Amino acid sequence: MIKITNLWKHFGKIQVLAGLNLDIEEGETLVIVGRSGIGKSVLLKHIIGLLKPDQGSIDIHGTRITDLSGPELLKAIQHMGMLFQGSALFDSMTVEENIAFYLTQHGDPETGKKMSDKEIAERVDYAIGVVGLQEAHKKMPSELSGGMRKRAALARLIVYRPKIVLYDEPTTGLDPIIAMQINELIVKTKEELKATSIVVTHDMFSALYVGDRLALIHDGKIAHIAGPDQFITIDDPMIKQLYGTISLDPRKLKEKNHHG
Amino acid sequence: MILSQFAGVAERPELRCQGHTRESRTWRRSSKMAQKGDFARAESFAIPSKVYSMTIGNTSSNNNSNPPPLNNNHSLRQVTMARLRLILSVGEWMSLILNVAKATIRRPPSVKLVMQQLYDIGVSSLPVVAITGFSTGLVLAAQSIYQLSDKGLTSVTGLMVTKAMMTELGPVLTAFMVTGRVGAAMCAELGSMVVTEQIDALQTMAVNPHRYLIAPRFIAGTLMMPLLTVFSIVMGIFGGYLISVYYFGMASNTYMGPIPIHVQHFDFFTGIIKGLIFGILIMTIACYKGLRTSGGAAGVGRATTNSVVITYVAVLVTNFLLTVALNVIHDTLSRL
Repeated sequence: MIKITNLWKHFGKIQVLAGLNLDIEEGETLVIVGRSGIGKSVLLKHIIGLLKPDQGSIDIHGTRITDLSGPELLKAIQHMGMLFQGSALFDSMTVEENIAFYLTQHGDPETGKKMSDKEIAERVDYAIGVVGLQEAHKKMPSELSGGMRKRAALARLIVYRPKIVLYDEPTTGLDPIIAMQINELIVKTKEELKATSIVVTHDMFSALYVGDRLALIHDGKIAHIAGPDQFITIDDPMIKQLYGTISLDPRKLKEKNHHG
Repeated sequence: MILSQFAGVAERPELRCQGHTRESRTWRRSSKMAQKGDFARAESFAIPSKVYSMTIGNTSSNNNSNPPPLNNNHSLRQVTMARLRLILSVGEWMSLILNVAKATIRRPPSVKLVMQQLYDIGVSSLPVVAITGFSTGLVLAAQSIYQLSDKGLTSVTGLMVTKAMMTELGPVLTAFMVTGRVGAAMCAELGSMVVTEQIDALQTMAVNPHRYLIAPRFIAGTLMMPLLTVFSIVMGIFGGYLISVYYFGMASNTYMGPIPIHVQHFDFFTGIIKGLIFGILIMTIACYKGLRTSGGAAGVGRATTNSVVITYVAVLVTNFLLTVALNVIHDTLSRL
């Protein structure tokens, strides 16, 4: 459904993606893990057309997204959505206006018809209900905590029911309890929207919780790809390191590092 | 090795001519390469000429002139890169204008957004533009009365204030105030939207940022600047009138009388045209610098400062060119 073929991208002297190939099935949640700064977010931005590759292609439902630009690109990504690492809420609008934004711009996502204020308000209320932000309707993004902003940004996606949802580090910078809520919401969103999800993270707990398949990105390529159970058994130092961060008892790890 | 070779030339005056020929040849080769776009090779060929100019400096040091601090190919590369960047920036700025124009023609931005910007740019700037225009008219009239009274020329005060406000001070000072008040805020707002990925978010929601964010600002700025300029001109004439009549005791008719006789439509249109063009400059530069912001909060600060400084310079240079061009056009037309 999403087919990424031989994707190359460099920034200055740094080769970020080096011939990356990846197929993503319809309806699955694929989690891409790897260390920070190795091109996970860059890959997401290519999928949604924010960046153009140096070489290679991305096909979504047979449309070559990498060849499109301008209005054609905007039309092609109309049924996609992205949750940004910093939430990227529009800070000049209230939470409610942020969530209603897509509907006020494009109308009903299914029919493309202009929606009345009442219809929009109903949809917004529903989305706010899903993420549990009832108390934040009229607040400005600057008045919200990090976790609330993430949830508001998620509501901004849910409201237009995208078919493909991209998550850029959804749990980074959140406390473990809020992070767990976000993980739960990602699973809920997937069930709710029947959407294909691509999650980029270095949080292995989140990856194993939400992912149907996990892929490790290394040296600009997909090094391994497997289901969660298989993935953690792969004999790769990077996977062991990443998995080690959640599978070890921290007290034992400290003892090992400082006394052994 | 090249250095020692040319240093040798410097020590042996009989060889200097040869060195010079070699240097000019090197320059010719490097400039040809630069024309072909082969900057890396052009730079490598340009190095000896730099070294040579250094050795000339050394020889002339015998005549008590200090040689300029020498450096190397690095500074040349920096100069070349700076020029390249400038050309690229101008190109990108023009392509932004073109893209916004295309997006606007394809589907005009919503009236609500344009109205909002008209208010933000126009109505909110009124007080600051009023104060600027008023105080400029005030000092202009006061100064001309002080300077001209002993020569018996105070009767030109009203005319001078009007002509100066209409053709130069009105448009330029309004442009400066709008740059500081609106341009800087706009650049900072767009810049922070870029660094917090809000512009990316707009695009992922299939909204064209050029149409949604930039076009309303362009339209509102371009429409509002001529109006603000007219307002500033009126305030300037009014300021001059107040001080001349109520402080210096000039007869009202002495101040106002010559204005309708000597002020031409051309003077007024000069102000309007300048205001319009400055409006385009202010908005496009602020939006361009805002959208090109990178590097977090510090980057936003840098972009804003750059945008203000560049706009000021652009306004001053354009003002001069417009003054000359409009007068040449006017003279040509009136001779026909």
